Amino acid sequence: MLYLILLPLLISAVLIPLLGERKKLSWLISLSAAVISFLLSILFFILYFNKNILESYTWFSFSNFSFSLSFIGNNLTLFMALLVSFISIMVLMFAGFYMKEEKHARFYAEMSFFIFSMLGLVMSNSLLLFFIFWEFVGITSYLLIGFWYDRDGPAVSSKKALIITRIGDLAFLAALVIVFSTLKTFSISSILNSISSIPMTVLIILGSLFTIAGLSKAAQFPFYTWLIDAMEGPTPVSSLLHSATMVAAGAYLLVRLLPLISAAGLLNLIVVIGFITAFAAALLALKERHFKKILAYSTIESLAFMFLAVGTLNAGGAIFYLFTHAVFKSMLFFISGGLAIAFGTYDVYELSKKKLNGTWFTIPALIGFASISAIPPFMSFFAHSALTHNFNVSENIAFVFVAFLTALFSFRAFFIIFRSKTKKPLKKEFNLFFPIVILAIISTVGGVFLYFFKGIISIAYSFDIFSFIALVASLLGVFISYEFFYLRKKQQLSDKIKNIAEKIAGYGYEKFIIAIGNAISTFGFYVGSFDFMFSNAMSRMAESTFILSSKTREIENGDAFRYITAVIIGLVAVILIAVIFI
Amino acid sequence: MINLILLLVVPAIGILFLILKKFYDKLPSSEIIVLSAMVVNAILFVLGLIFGFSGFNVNINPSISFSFSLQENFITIPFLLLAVTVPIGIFLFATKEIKQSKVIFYLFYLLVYVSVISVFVSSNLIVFFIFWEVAVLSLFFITGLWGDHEKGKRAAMKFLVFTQFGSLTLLAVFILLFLYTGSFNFSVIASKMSLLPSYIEYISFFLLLITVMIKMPIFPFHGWLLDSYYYSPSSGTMLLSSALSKLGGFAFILFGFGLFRNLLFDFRLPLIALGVFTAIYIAFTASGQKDLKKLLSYSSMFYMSLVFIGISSGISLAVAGSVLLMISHGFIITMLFGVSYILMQKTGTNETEKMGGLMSRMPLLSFFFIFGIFASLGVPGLSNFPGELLIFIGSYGVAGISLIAIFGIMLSTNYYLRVIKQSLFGQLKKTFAGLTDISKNELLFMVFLSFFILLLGLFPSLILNTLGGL
Amino acid sequence: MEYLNPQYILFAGILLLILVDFLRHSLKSNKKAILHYLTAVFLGLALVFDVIYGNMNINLFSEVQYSQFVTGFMLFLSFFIYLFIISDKNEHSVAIDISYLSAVLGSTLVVLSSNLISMFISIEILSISTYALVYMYKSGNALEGAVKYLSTGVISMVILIFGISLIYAGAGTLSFSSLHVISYLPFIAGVAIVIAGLGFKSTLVPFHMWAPDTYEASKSSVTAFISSVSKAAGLIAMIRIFFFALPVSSLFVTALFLSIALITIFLSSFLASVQDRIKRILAYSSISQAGFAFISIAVLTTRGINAAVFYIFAFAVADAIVFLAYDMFENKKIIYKKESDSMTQVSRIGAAAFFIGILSLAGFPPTIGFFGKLLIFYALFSSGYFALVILTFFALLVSTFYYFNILSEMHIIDKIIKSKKQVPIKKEQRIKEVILIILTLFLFIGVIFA
Repeated sequence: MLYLILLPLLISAVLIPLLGERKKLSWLISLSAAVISFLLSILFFILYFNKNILESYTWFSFSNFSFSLSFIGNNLTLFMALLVSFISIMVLMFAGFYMKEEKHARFYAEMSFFIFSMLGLVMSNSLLLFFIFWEFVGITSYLLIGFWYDRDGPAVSSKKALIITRIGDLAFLAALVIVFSTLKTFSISSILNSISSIPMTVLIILGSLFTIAGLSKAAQFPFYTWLIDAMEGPTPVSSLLHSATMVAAGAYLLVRLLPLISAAGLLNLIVVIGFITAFAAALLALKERHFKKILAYSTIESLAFMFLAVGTLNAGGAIFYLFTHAVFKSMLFFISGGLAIAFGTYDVYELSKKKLNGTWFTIPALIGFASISAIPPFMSFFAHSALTHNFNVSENIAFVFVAFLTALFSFRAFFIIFRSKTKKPLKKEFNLFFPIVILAIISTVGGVFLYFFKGIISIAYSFDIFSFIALVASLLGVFISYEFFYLRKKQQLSDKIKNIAEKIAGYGYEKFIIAIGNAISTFGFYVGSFDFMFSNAMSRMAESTFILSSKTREIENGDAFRYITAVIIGLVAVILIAVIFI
Repeated sequence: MINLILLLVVPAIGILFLILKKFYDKLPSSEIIVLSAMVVNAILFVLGLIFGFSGFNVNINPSISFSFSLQENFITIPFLLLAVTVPIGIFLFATKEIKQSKVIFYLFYLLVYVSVISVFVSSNLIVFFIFWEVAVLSLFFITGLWGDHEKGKRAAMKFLVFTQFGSLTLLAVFILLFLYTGSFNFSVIASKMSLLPSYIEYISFFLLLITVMIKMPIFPFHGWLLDSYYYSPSSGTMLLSSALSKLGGFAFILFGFGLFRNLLFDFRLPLIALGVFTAIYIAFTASGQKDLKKLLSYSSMFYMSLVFIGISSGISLAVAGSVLLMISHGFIITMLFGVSYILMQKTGTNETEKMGGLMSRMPLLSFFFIFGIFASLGVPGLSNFPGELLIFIGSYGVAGISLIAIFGIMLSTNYYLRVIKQSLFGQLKKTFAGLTDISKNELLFMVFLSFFILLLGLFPSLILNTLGGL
Repeated sequence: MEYLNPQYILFAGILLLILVDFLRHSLKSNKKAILHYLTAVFLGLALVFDVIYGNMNINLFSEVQYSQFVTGFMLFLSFFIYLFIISDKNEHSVAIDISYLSAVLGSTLVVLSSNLISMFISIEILSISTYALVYMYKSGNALEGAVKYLSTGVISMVILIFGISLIYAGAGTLSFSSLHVISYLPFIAGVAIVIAGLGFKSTLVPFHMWAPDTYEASKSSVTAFISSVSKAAGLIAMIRIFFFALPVSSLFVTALFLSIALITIFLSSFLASVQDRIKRILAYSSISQAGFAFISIAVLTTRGINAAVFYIFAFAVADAIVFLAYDMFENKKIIYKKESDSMTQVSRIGAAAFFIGILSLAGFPPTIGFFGKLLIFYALFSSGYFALVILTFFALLVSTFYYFNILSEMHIIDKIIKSKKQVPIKKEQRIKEVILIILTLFLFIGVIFA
């Protein structure tokens, strides 16, 4: 019955384009579909609570192999479905505000399909089904990022997004093939049960492939570049992609396959990559001027946190942080979108001139940025405590630095944007205001969920000494940002920080990626010309034989005497051959 | 029961009517004749699926075991599906494209149509070969007469000489089989394969490989591909890529997998390696193309090399995947070549760099273009995916190197997305401001093909269930 | 009944013609047409009696298993070629009729001869009559062609008789039934020399050089006769000697045959592909066809011989069609490859027949040319010549190339249906077209003889 959750959105995805351009109707259809899905998710969550319901359908089968698609209903998957559908409702409401001027049909159809795929993804039990939805998510995100296809920016960045995530998709495909060849099943639960029967080398290859898939989807190092560029897309898309869906799918995959990854011995690698990504993202965010791109770097960092949790075998921490992050990040994106609609810019320094402090945006924004920096009493503080539960000392120390940098860049953005005060209140549109407020409330009081969460998935949290050191580091970061960017003291030092960040940005990773791309097409060009030559070589050979034979033509010049000579020569040759072979 | 001969008779009547039309002008227009012949055939095919097909047999010359016999074999049905449906789509398209000597074109068109069907259903190897050659000849004339004015003839000649070599080697295989089994009848041969001395088996297998590698084509015998695909009229290119190249795969499965299975097992590693090499090589080649039609030609070859990998692995799972992929690729590549032709007509160029922003003027075309490209890239739910999956699963069990071909899909993603970006996305160029979207006929063509792409993508079991004999 | 064999009929025909012509001269009548019809009637009668009663069977001439079929198709082709000739407006002298009849008689006798001497005489009858036929229309360079034919022909005859004498010196007999292989050097040399002598009639390289010039110089309808019936006679003679008379297949014969055949096939294919004039291309193609028939004889097995006989039949029919059709075009001055475009303007049916004939020559199914090649490959394979077959593939590719070079210029099917303008068609052309249609039908139904 779990497919019922998906059905409304699929229907809406098909229905909307068929109805054509109907202004608000498309929005209403997709929104109500999301609401129905949400309600169904609640229903199933209650029905299947603490159960493990498998629903399997055979897609096709051949001889003894059956390719089955199966959903699983348990606490984790249904909680994820709940989360995805909830965030989707919020995002769709926001879209009703943000996309007023755009063409509706295409947008909402793609959005519905995207949410449909994401809901399917979180509930799949069969890796095949997981992959199918994974691919759907990938291509729909491509279409959504490229929604404004006639602008040059989205055209490039959508392509980039799909190419980079496609690396992961194909790694997933390869892993899928290997899994099925070795175990003859796609079901995640049976795969996890029979890890011990997989040979070690295969296991390592499998684990690496899945990790690559997860990393590329979650925009982790070395695949993170696409996410920044993806900000070219419409803001509702960004918020949906960044919060509970697309990127989270990468982390979610590894969470589901955690035993396999750990059996393959890849956990340390994931932790290392997580830290590299977190540092790089935090530093890069420091120099960024574009509001959404700052948020994008923060997303990358948050995803890195989830990978850290995964890398320390802390699935519960990862999922809880995913939940937390989804809530505050989508809220921040709504704020950025609201500001952009109001002032027509995403540039933080431009926004700074608009005198925003004192508008109704300030408090939710503060909640959001404080959540990024994990400052109590907001939910993310508790999430961090769960996240770092399995950290060892060195990891904890590294995490303290990350926490400092995080607070620094997030409050930098906050202080720059909301620097000047104003008296003029901004208009409150329901579609914008309502989701922001709801999400802000959850972010604030959501810490209590941590206690309920134990009943849902196993989670452990602790407020040890390092939690407090990290908190202090964060507060220090907030203080320094306040000094530098709000009071604008020590301008030189802040410039220096900015320079360092820019140097890191200029270390050419981006260029390296582009260079690889160029190298491939140049290489392709040479292979192409080689192939052209190669194909023609045969006909050239044939031609040269014709030229040769046109020489032989001169033998026959119509001279009868020569003919007779030829006959005589032939005769002698014939006799000779006869005598030789006798 | 539907007799298989009916599938041949109906188009033959169509051909007859086309010729009679010259003498009696009262007959309906030639388009209607051709279309109704093909539609009737499609209906017959559907009826056949429901009620089953029955064979047909007429002895012509027993001394050389030449009988006109038709019988379905273990892979006939999927290929028949391709052969009776895709030409209808292509025809909808060809009526617009072909401007001069239409009737003659239709004549050749029906010839290709009927001969491709006959190859799929014939159980006598002489009949098989006769129609195999008729298909080649008809396409030779289609390329030569309706293709590019300057280079069409040359390209056609190249095509003919190359594929003729392949046909001759196939003929040699048939004769060798006849020599040792005393029959040209497929089922008799299959039951007497043990009579072949092993060196004969080797010789025939390699000759067959040459045929297949030329027809599909596979490196290093693909020299004819670019010229003939590029300089053919687009409907000819569609026939070449959707029907003719499938003949190669069909022959490979029928004979390579059906008769020489032991040898296929012995040689599967080098063959898979060859397929993988071809896939990567051709994916790189395609990445280097700026011209859309050239790019599509190479990409068509890329998918055929995946098919080659699948069949060479000799696992029935992978072979079933190859069948699926071939059928689906037949639909997809037809659609893409159609789009490329329409773009060429509207913008006057084949180079995607010179297009730009066309999506705002032609949303429908863009939709189908993107749809086709995604289908081609193996997005699940569309028809290429199940085939690719089965091929990879099957061939991985034989040789892990087959997974390297996935890198080729990565490269295809790269060049396909580049094509979308350059042609559809971006700012509309001023010169294209007056463009209009596709006509109803073209829309029908696209919808027709999309229907099958979606159908086979969602329900691959439709085809897999008919492949029980593998 | 015993004497109702085609050979007697033909001989009677020749005598009757001479008589009637003499009478006509005495009566000062100018009606030659009746004589032409008489000739045709005799050819037709000969064909009918061949089918019913078979050939004559006396001392020096005896039947072997395939000879009735061979003489049958020879007479069949001769009959239609003759009909084609007389349907032309141009009147020709009665001498030509007589030469034609004796040429046909000669070629059937070659098939039947069971003794080297009778074979030599039959070939002489055939040759001398064809020299005359080539010079039938005293136009252009017919004289040159005839003289070349004559000069190389005479030399070949000398060679042949020399070879025969060497064989006699070795074996002491000339009768096929008592000949046998002995390893006596002059005998071996004699056998080789006989191959050379017969190679002249069958246009094998390097004894082929007269062929393109002569083919081109003579009228195409005559070329049709030379390249089909007369050439078939030469090849059948080869079979008769080397398969039935010298039944032990010895290495040297095979080596000789194979090398000659391969050289013939390859050289002629390449030479054909560089020609500009259609008729020369056809001439070389005809040489290469002989090469294929010869390669099949070379294996010296029953299969090979059967294949060769069928192949000879196949290419003889196709060559006859092609040259006859070309005769119609030649009258309209279509000489070069490039001009083949306008063939359809002359005669659409002619062009179609030409098209199908060339397909058959190129060995495309479903024509008998294909089945001929099929049988040849079958014969070669069953004797184990795998590499040889692959080698001939390349020659076949080259031949595909030049054949289709003509065809792709023709736009043939295009025009056959398209051209709606009705050119007034003369009655004689109708007859020609009917003849071509009948012959073309044989390209399809001929497979029953395989």
